[in-house]
Amino acid sequence: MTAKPAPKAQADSEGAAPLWRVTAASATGASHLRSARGNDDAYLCASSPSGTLLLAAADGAGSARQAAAGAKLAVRVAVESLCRLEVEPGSWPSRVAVAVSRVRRQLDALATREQGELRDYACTLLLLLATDSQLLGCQIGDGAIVVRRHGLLERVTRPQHGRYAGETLFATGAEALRGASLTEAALEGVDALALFTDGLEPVALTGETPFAPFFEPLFGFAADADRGALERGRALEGFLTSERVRSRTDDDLTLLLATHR
Amino acid sequence: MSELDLVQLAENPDPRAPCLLLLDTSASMSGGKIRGLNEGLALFKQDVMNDELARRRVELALVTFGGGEARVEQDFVTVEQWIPSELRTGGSTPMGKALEKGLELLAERKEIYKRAGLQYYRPWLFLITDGQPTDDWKQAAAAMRQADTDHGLIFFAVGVEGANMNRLAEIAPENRPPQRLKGLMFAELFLWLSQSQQKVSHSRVGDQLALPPIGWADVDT
Repeated sequence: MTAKPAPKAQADSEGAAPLWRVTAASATGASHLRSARGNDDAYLCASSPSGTLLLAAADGAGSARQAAAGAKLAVRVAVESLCRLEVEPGSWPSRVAVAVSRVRRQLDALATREQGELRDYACTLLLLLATDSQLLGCQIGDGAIVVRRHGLLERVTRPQHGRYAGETLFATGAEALRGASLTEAALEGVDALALFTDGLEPVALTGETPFAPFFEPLFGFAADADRGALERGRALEGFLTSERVRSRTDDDLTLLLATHR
Repeated sequence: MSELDLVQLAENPDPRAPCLLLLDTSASMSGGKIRGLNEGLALFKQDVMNDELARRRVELALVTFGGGEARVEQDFVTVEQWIPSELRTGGSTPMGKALEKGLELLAERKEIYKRAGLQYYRPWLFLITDGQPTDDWKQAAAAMRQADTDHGLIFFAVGVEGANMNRLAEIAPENRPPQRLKGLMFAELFLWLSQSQQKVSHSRVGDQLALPPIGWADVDT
């Protein structure tokens, strides 16, 4: 299995993921544009010849000074770690534990090199791995992983919201592993996957429930075989930066979609 | 037409950022101080209104204390809907009653949020005075400090010229000592409060929120 960074507004190259068609995009939030802060989200998609798909996204904490660098390194280290071995049934929690501790170690090392602190690189972490028979999810912090199973939307993992709005868990925190939401489920009946950072929560969820009129057209769009991955990624970025989305949420937005071929 | 045009967006209520001001309107606040305070409040409204999200999320309430009573001048209302009115001065400084009233008002508001299923940020309680309590304050101050320790709220005390800073230090939480306002820099104080509330209402934090630097306080307090 090989890790491959998906550049901005671009997803997998066709053929690399024989089972899944991936579309992904990330856009700087309006509030970050106003403060010239840039996009603190990062994502990666990876796939193996056997058809295993790995989607990863991280959202750098608004309170963290090096949030963008933290998120970028976090997804890279997590994906590299999870790509080393095929995941055996039952091994998911230990694989995640190894991946997250690697993420923390690498972020800590980066912080030391840059004479900062680990918390300067704080970010959330969302991971979704789809093998030929299993769906493995990991969520540290907010955002969401949503899948369609037999036509119905469900959340694979649970978010960690604090007592107050805007409080969440970060992969860099001491509580990260204890608080993480991990899922091992059967892939049976699942034909579409979505993974997104918290910027999209206000428009993609009603309370905590996936909003079907949001996801169904998106999955339809993502399944469109007539358009290439690059073109779909650009169109998705256009949607994320559209006025109607921007007027409703001002945070960075990252959305990864995968539909079964 | 692309399928993306068919994507519908979910409607969710904005999370609320409650901000409660306890304002000294005793006789000693008359003149330049109350003028500065009134202008500061108007500026606060104006500045928050520039922020599309914060104007809908920040909810303000005002409790004044003077003339022997603590009065709910304004119950919680979003900044968007708030119409500032001119505060007048007179009488003594019943700060204890104001703290009590403030905690009561906050508890009620949290209950309303919970019933309505609204998410909310940690409330701010902001006290501005130029004197010292003329009533029994110890119990109310202890309750407020406890609520602050329990992360139920964030309490800030600001002393205007003439304030008994030692007494204020007894009232405020130990880790957040009172600040002394430089001269009559109410405008700077309320702009800072507005910027802070804008940050709060956009925030997503694992630990501490970085607040804008305080330019309106004397550093030697």
